[in-house]
Amino acid sequence: MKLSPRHKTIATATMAVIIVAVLYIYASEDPESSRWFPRCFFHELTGLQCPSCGNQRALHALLHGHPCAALANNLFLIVMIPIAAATAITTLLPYNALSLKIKSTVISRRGLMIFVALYFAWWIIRNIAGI
Amino acid sequence: MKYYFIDQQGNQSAAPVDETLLTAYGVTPKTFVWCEGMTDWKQADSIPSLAIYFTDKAPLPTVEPPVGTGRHAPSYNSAVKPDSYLWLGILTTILCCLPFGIVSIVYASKVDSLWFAGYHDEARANSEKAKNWGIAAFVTSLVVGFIYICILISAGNL
Repeated sequence: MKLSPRHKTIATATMAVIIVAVLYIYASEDPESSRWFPRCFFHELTGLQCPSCGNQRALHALLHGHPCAALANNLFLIVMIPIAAATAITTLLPYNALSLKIKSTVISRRGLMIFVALYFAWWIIRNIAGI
Repeated sequence: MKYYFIDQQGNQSAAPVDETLLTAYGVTPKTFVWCEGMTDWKQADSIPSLAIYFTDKAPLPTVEPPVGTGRHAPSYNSAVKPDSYLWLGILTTILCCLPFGIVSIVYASKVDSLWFAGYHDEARANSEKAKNWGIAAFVTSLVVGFIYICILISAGNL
């Protein structure tokens, strides 16, 4: 799936439109009071929290300028937001020697392994500590 | 010297082109080119003997695409590092709360290090797995969401 520059532009523009639409929906509606938002099926089945539980409420809080309320919904955002931003930026860079160097510096294999370990640690800790 | 090149659609030129005509075919300093004797594809600006063709600002002649069956050049894929599809793994992990996204990230993390260590085939294999697990995570969450809505409707809650 090697995209030509033109198709990459179209794909990026489509993604941008979807992201803006999603941000608009989460800013105008509160996921907690509306049943139209998708539920975490792990939480529905087990009653336990998954590592991403609270992200929808956190996004709503963030869009209303309440970063502390967002973190109260899911503390793991401290890790997820930076890694999502780094991934987005390095994905959008054009393919050349410089961008390859930036990418391997910003996102290393060790860094990703640490993220995976933290993900599972957070999954356990939040259910024991009830956060 | 005659060079094969990779056009803007990502396809290898069918036949080698004389270096004096490369720019006329739309070759830029960042285009990957290959000629007899080179071990792998390189960007044109990394080949010193081609530098003189990229300083000339004169209007370019129009030429027909080269014809022929160029079967001697190494596969173009060997020049370009496979995508790690990390964005897919990260996105599905953050949004879908499914373990499949994590599997995708694990494979994605191996792509670059394998590639730069010279294990190109292994890097490509890991790239494929990262893509497939990422898509699996995405599709699974869509299916689960669809089932959830079906249950809501059948229960008369909508």
